[in-house]
Amino acid sequence: MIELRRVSKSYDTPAGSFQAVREIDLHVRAGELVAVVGKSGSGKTTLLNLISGIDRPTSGDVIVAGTALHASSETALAKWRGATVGIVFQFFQLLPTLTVVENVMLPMDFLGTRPVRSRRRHALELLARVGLSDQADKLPATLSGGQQQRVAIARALANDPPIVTADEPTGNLDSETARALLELFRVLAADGTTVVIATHDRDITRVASRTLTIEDGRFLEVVPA
Amino acid sequence: MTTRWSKVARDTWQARTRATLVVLAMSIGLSGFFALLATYAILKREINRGYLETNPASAIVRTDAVDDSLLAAVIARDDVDDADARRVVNGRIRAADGSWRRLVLFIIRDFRQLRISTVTSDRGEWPPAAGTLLIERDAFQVAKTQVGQVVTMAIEGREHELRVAGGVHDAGQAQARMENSVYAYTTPETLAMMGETAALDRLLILVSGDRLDQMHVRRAAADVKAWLEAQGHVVRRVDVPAPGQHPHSVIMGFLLLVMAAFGAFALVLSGAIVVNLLSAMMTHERRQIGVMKAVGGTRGQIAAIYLGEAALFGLGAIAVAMPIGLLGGHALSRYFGVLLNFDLVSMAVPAWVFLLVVVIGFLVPIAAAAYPVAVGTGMTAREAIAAAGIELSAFGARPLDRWLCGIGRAGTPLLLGVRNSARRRARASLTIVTLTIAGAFFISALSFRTSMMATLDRFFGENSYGADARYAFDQHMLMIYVFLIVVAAVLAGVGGLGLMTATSLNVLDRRRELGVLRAIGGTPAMVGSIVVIEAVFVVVLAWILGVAGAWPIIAALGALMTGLMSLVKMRGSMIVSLSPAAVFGWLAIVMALAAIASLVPAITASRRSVREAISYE
Repeated sequence: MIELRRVSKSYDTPAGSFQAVREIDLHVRAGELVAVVGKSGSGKTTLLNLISGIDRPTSGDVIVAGTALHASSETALAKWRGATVGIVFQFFQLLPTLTVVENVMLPMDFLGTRPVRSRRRHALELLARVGLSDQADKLPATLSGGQQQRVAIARALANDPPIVTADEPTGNLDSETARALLELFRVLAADGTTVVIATHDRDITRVASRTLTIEDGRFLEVVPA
Repeated sequence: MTTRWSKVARDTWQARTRATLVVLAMSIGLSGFFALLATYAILKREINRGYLETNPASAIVRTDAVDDSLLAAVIARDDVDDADARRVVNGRIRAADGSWRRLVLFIIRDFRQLRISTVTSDRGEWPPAAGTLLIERDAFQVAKTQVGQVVTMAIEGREHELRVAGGVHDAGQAQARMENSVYAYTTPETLAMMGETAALDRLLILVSGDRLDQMHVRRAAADVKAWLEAQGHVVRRVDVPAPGQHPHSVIMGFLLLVMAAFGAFALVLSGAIVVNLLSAMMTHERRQIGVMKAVGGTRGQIAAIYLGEAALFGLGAIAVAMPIGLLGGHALSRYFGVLLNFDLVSMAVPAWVFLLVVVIGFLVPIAAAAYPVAVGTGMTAREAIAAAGIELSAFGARPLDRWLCGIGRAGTPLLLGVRNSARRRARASLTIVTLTIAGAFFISALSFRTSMMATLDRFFGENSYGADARYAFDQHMLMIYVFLIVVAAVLAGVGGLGLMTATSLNVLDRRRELGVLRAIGGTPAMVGSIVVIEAVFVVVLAWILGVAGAWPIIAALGALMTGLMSLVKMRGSMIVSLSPAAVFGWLAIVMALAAIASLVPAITASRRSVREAISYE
């Protein structure tokens, strides 16, 4: 499902070139729940951005769900992301002027994946799946951090993507809420969705099928399931 | 409604104060544009309709004498449909206050058979009995007389007394008050009673065939002239007026189009406020743009959201401008109707005017938003998500920044205010440009008045303003500087709203920074004063540039007036000078604008709690 071959990514900064990821190789099968752990600045977010098509490699090949992302245009990548990857951010990143259900409907509107009339019904189903159907018409600001992150997961699933990536999804949550969220990811993977999570949270190993430790842009060890 | 349109509507509602300022600024320009364009369309139609109703002569042949047999022979020609004879006598008429005014006396062959270049009865007797005359309806105020009174006229040195029997409306003449002239109408019999030559010397002809074809009319008039000369008559001159057009319609149309262009210019300047607002919005929404891209939104889809918000501003401006512009258009049409001496039958505004205003109302904000939206949505998803929102490195890189850092040893709030003005250069520049143009117009308008007064005083003598000899001059000049003042007021309104929007956006940008100032001991008054000083610095810069910009305008107007003066045989050139009252009056106005524009943002900035300010994301 995910194939990275000798992938490197560097950024130009005022202090010179910064190598975020160095010649990484990675293969993830469909339905795996892969945890990428590492310190701040180790390259976790860059790796996730490369997998989810948010960023493109400086060198190497990134092939996800059969698409060569390194060779795709920005517009093509946007459409591909909407259809193929559900992205969960650390700070939830819900649009503040859209209600909870509208936030979940947004990717469907962008992609036009369902008839207009059925979009709200599908969004409500997803919200029910994360236990928030009763909050559907509220604005994000009225929800707790845990609730907002669950909305973000529902949004990530809006177009039934085969892959979900999550960057520090539990970083701003209390431990109980964090555990509930990780369980949600486990269920998703069990249902066949490929899940890649970047995190500091060592509890992830409890639910992950594989844990990759990254440091200075390279994997240190690979722990098979 | 899709979620994207929900976002458009709610984002606009969330920024409703600033959105209202933008809508108001655009409404000013759009209302003016609509009013002037509507006036142009109404008058263009009505002035020519009213003029055509008088059945104006295709050509006027000035000859020696036209008697009934000659008239019948001309009418019998194949190339002439109809003809009439008239005489025009120039003289003077004594107004009721004893002053003498210019008199243009039209001698009409037969008031009962008026078919060409007609006048219609407005009041009193029709036709005038022997020994009486009729006066054009607007000329009563110039002659300071009324129906039934006896007036004294002087023609070629001889004085005559005639009773005013009634009034007429002559749509072919300009407003008598503007020309400071009296148009009067009488019969050949009355002229003979006065001992003047009663022969009618003007032949008014209506050509057959296409009367709107000027070449055809010229050919027919030339044939009539040749025929008259062959008959032994002397032809002194042949006039062929522009067919179907009121003599003033071209100049009036030009004047209105220039005014409409200024309305459109004010609208374009209000687009600068849209640029500022949308640029700020795009900066604040970078993360949201990144998220939308991450969940599948393409650049085009996301750009459509923000262009939709710009279109909403346009919709708001159109909704405000339509009724105001329509009322303004009707009022202006009535005013010009009186000024040009004709009646308006219909005030209907043609559909193309509404359509053009709607198109421009949408086009201006969308065009203004295009650049900030293109930049804002052009970032990759990663760049947008990673953006911190406020650039810290923007100040200090350019020579202007370093110059500002070297200014004086004044207190910190003053220095911060001055330096902050250079942080959002594009935003500050757009505001300065708008206020500079407004200032240049304001100063040149008042300076033009001062210069013109000085010039006319030189020609007509000190304190001669409003005197009979220069009255018409004063009236025409009054129109020009009233026009310049109106333009300046509109531009100042747009500039003031622009300054208000920019200041409010600056405070929004720097909430966290202002919170830090409060946290390290800045009092609310000190924080507020930084905001006020920033606005004052911007308007002072605009004032200096406005004074500099006014000089070429007043110099160009001076050169134009000198040329016009030579046309009316006035020797010498126009005295050109900048009016100190205008220069310092404008400074007072922009300082007041700065105070008004920064008051609410300064209070907002100083009232916000430290915790609130530094927690703002």
